[in-house]
Amino acid sequence: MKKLVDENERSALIESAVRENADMIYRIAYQHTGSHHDAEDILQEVSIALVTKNAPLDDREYLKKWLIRVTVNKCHDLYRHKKRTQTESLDDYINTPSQQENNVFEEVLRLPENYRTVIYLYYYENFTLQEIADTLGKKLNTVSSDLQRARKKLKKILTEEE
Amino acid sequence: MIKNEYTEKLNEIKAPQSAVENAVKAALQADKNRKEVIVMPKKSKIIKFISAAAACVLVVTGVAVISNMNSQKPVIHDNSAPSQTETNVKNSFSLIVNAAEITENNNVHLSVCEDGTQRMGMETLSIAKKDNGKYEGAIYPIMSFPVTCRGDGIDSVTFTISGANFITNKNLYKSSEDENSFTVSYKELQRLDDLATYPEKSEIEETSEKKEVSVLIEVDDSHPDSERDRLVEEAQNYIKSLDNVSAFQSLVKEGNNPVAELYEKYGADIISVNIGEVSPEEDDEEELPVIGNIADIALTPTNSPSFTVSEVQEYLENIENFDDFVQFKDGEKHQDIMNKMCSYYSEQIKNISVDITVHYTNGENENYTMEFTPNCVSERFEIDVETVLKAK
Repeated sequence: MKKLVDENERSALIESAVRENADMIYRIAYQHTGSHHDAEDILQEVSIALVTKNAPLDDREYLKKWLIRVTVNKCHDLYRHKKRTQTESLDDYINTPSQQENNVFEEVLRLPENYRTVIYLYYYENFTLQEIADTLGKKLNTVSSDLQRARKKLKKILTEEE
Repeated sequence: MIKNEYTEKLNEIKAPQSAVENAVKAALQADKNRKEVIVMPKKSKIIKFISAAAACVLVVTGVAVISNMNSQKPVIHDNSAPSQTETNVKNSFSLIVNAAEITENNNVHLSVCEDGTQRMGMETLSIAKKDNGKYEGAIYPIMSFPVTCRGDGIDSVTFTISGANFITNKNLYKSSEDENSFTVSYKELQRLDDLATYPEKSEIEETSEKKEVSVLIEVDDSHPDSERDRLVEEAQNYIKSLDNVSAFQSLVKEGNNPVAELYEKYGADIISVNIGEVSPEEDDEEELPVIGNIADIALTPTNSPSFTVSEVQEYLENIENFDDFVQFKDGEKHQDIMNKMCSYYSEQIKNISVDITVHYTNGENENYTMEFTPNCVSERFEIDVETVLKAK
């Protein structure tokens, strides 16, 4: 009986973890891939990893960071997979928006992948650089320079369009 | 305003309800399957073994990867073609980078950016008090090391650098005493590959309280240890009292110099000011290396060009605020700094080379060398670094 209760509790934890973080995972994936279809696939893959890779279901704060990291890794996997299997320009991988839709978000989508992640975590999730470094397993200096370069690129793009 | 536009757009992006339901269903199903695997541990082991064997056959012997590789133009390569890779790795180590095989007559250009080069930028600005009593800034450039190697029959690979230093995780790589060389064991790489994909809790550190201005302070050796600790603590409290970046910027704008005040008041020796971010002291031992970026290269910060405190602060001031930054127009002084930095970086990079020795399990070794050629675009402060790998 106890075991059954535990299993029910675990299922409830899994379900709530997926529901609570689905939008975040989807946003990160969409920002990486520019494709709703790919974002949905990644959401599903990350949800499966949540149970198969022993995610920390009982620690919401850490779980969030874990999911961010796994989502980013899944995006990288998808990118690598497409790079290996495609014979056309990988620019097509990023479904860049049309010129008419130009705004800051679309310009962020045009940035290199790692820049997009840092911009997202810094400006949307309000992570500190140290938190971003910890979450992504990168050096603080790397994250810091990624952010600087992302800003620089954005500045350049937006200035050119003025 | 720009930040708001970005976050508002992101707020609009939500996972479709059907996708969430599918994800929940998939997760619960995976959990159910997982329980079944636990009941059959032997099956689980076999699957693991087969996966490992498959991984060994699919030999990727050298891939140019750094964190921003995703921006690179597509290079179609056939690393996955089993017949070719098997031939290449048998009793000889062949680096395959972007589809090209490195031989004595075929050097390979490593490309990690969209235009086929590696790009680097300023990493750390530091302000130091010189013997003449003036405050000057220095830059400490770092660039990612653009290659890692994987292969068959390899025991380890030793990387030796000249003209710069490696920054590595000393827990994982055996560094020689001069710290210009480190060795990667392939058993360890396999383990790290898993960690890079699925982090364990211990790998994600608890973060410290968010502060808008942070300062790393090291006090002169001339102070006794106990005094140094007290001075550092006092100086840190001073910085905390600045409350936030606005307060810091106000001080600068009002003609004050908080950094100089720190020197005067606490006799600090080295002060790195980071604006708009938290920057506690780094602890190399807690860093998780990401496969594909096995090390960074730190250029030796000797002969760094000097900048006045006001030049450095002006630069920092202009990159502090996201909205301001994207609106910022390059001024003359800013351009001067860029030119100085570009010139300095270029000189430093030219002198760097990396020797790579592949140690095979059968006792044989093979040698390669990596050279870097800088091309500075000072108006954008971008250094394109062309990296070439040659067989020796």
